[in-house]
Amino acid sequence: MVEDKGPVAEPIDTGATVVPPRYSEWRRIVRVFFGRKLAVIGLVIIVILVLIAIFADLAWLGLPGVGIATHDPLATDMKAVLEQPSSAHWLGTDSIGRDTFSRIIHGTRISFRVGIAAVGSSAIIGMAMGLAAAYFGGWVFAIIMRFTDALMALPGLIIIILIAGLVGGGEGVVIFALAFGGIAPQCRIMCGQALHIKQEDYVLAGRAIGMGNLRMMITQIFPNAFPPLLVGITMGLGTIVLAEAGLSYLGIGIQPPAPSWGGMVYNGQAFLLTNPILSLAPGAAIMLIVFGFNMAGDGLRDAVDPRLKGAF
Amino acid sequence: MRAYVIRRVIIGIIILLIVTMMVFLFVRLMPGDPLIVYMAGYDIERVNRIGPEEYQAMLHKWGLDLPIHVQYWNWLAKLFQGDLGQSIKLQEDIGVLIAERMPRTAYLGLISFVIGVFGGIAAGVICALRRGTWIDTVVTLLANTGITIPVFWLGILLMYIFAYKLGWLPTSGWTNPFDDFALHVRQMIMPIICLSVGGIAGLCRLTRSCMLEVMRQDYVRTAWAKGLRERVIVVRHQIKNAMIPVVTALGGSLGAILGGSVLIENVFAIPGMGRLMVSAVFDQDYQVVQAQVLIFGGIIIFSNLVVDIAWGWLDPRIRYA
Repeated sequence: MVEDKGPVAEPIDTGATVVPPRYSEWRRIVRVFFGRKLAVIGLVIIVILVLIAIFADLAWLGLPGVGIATHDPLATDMKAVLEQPSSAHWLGTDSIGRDTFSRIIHGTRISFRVGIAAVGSSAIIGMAMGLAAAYFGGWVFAIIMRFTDALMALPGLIIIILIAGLVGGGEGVVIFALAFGGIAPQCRIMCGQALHIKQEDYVLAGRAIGMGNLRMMITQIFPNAFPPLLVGITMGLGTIVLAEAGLSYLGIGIQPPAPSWGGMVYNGQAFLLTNPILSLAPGAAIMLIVFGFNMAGDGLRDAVDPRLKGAF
Repeated sequence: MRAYVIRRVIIGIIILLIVTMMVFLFVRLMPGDPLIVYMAGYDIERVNRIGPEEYQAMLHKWGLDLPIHVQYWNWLAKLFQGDLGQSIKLQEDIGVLIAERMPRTAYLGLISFVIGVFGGIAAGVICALRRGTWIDTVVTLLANTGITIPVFWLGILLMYIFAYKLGWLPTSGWTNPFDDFALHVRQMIMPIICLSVGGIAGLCRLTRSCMLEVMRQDYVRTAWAKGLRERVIVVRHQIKNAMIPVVTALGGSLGAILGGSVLIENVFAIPGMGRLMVSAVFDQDYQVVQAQVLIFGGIIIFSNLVVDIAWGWLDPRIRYA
């Protein structure tokens, strides 16, 4: 998060009046955000999960076998199949003897990787489209908006199933499909913001000093439209992690043996009667991460959009 | 008003056309070949034995050797005649396949939608009116959980509790209501709960925030000041105005139910559109997938159109926007 350094320290002595302290939008946003209990809880959950993902194992530091995960998430042990939770296997083992706790811990990585990659790419593409639509107007606006209308007409999950299913699973494909499904909302938010900002005086001023289209969009419109977009991105992360879980549950998403939470819920379903924890634990993990993103997103929205202040 | 309706209908048709193009292109650009799956299943040995002449003949039979724009045109022309094409895998008319499954999905979806809309709006209004009390805290927490919970996992959780542990409900399946109505109702309880949770939670949150927004408006203060009864203020001034964003969100929640039905039908083994779609995806049966996506898209475009027209009728400002 960009932190303002406070008031501009020493105004340059130009002989003119003293420069007033720069008003910081970000600082206000941070203050309001941290005043919301649920938002802070959401943020704490996300930070903890990020740490879990990083320290799931320390193989990347050259220390294999050390980390939060107690076992190798892919190692099978035919002598310990479908075990109940014990001190050796905290959440038991699955039908081919893999440690459920370690798989859930490693699944955090997949969720973050897929979520960030998919939301990042859909945000970049969607924002570029929304910016172009709002800035150029006319037929560019019409084409881009009709395209997003068409995308919005299909339920997100259906587009994602369509792409991921027909191409065949795999992490890259899942990310591509999720990113594609997420373009339309990002484009809509950006477009709405940019249409507004286009009317501002500083854009007119920019034009007066001869700014080109690209420079105007990147240096003037985009930074001013960014705070609401950040809300869209945070909310999008929750939605996309949920969609990935659904996709992997259907068997169209992340392919086994990778420990994707959705896939684990599916695999555990067959043993629901004897080992309910196999399905229920990864589902709780999905809920936790989505709850974190949603609550952080809610807080951010309250902080960013003053019209909604106090509404939650 | 008539000009507004005509304009909305034309835009709706254009969007539907773009959807057909998108779906068609998507499906054709994907790797995977339904003919291979049909001719040889997933057996690699048999795939290698398919002769080129045999394959060409199949391509020709299904019209897949034509240029892509001609294929699109043929598909569209047939659509207009109500012909959705043939399933390559199941060797059946897609129209028949869908006619058999659509009513089940529509039935479940519609009940869940109605429960979601009324439940969500009622819960949201109560939260806003009782803001800060324990009711508000509990319901808001439940709503926040409701938008977070993965529907398929909720399904499994309910199945574990009510079917396996308590034994109150059958685990899964579909029974024709005309054959055994009691069993049918018992089987549908869990799927309907799962499908309506998202709608209840989402609309509750939205209604609550819109109500709180409206309650601070000047006209509400005026209404209090001139001594109207509380019930009149709440119903006529607050709820009515707070519903504007809620009604526009209804299209989205219908879409979420359609998407969720794909998951829920697979959890509870209900032979509806969602199950058909997943099995068609696995079989690379793209005629079926494209027909289904088109139908889902059509439903949502149509419901958005209805919402738009309803609003143009209720709120004259929108007609000229």
